[in-house]
Amino acid sequence: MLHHGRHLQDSKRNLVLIFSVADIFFALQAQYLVEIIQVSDVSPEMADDYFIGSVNLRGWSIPVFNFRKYMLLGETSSVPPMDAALMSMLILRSDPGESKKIPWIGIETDHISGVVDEDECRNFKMPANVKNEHSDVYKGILIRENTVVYLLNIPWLIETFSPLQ
Amino acid sequence: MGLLDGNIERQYFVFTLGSRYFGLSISHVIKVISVETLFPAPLLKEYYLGFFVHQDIPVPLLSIKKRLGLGGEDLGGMSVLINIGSETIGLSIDGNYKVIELDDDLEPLPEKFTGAVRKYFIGRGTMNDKNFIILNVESLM
Repeated sequence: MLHHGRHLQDSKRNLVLIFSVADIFFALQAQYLVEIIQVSDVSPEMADDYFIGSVNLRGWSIPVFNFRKYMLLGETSSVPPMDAALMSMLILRSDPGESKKIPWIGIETDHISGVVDEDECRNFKMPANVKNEHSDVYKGILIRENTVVYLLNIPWLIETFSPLQ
Repeated sequence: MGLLDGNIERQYFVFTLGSRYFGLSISHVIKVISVETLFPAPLLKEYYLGFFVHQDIPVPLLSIKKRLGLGGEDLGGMSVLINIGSETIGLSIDGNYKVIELDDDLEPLPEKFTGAVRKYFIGRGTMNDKNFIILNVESLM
């Protein structure tokens, strides 16, 4: 397992993690990232319409949100991971606090691009005219190196879908 | 004709989508650009294809074909940037376009344009014996 969470939380900067799913770049604010783990499979336990199942994180079952399906990006990864047996998964929480009463969820990714300072990006609101009833998943849009990155609204995502509320 | 020549109130940006001709008031038009990279965005209104970057700003690209239910795929690559109020959006066009000035007032819409579809159009013009329908751009959003 990779443990990036502690390092990112200690920073005073507004860091964002950028990752891709189905060749689309997404970002989330690092304060919502607990850690990044490499997993080989997902247990069907806790599976439902929005969740693939769960992963065991040090004895605690973390539900894995079916981000790809929810975002209408297909059912399977378009990019084989470097190690075909492992996938990078983000463990996320809706609040920076340490309490495990706050639900955590996992999200599978195709590729993790890295961590950047949000201040190094141009930051925009999602225009109201393009939104539909599902668009609350977006907190905004970042422009970095002439690339559009969609900044996710992690608290909304977890509070809306977590089965552990 | 240049964008700033002549009577701007009678000028229209006329373009093709498939075999159809459409127009919009030149007062909305900023420029025509080539969209080199489109960044699709899921979970938006279905007629938005995504965003592209223009002068370091993300601009949503609207498919008129999808908005009007015309069928067919957007060719991509060309977009007319327009202003609607404080918003800037791109409209996907096939690539053939011209700025014209009409001598006469707009003609009314054909009677076959009935119901909700009428809100998307404000009238009809003629260019070289070809009719084109003027879009009500506010209604597209």
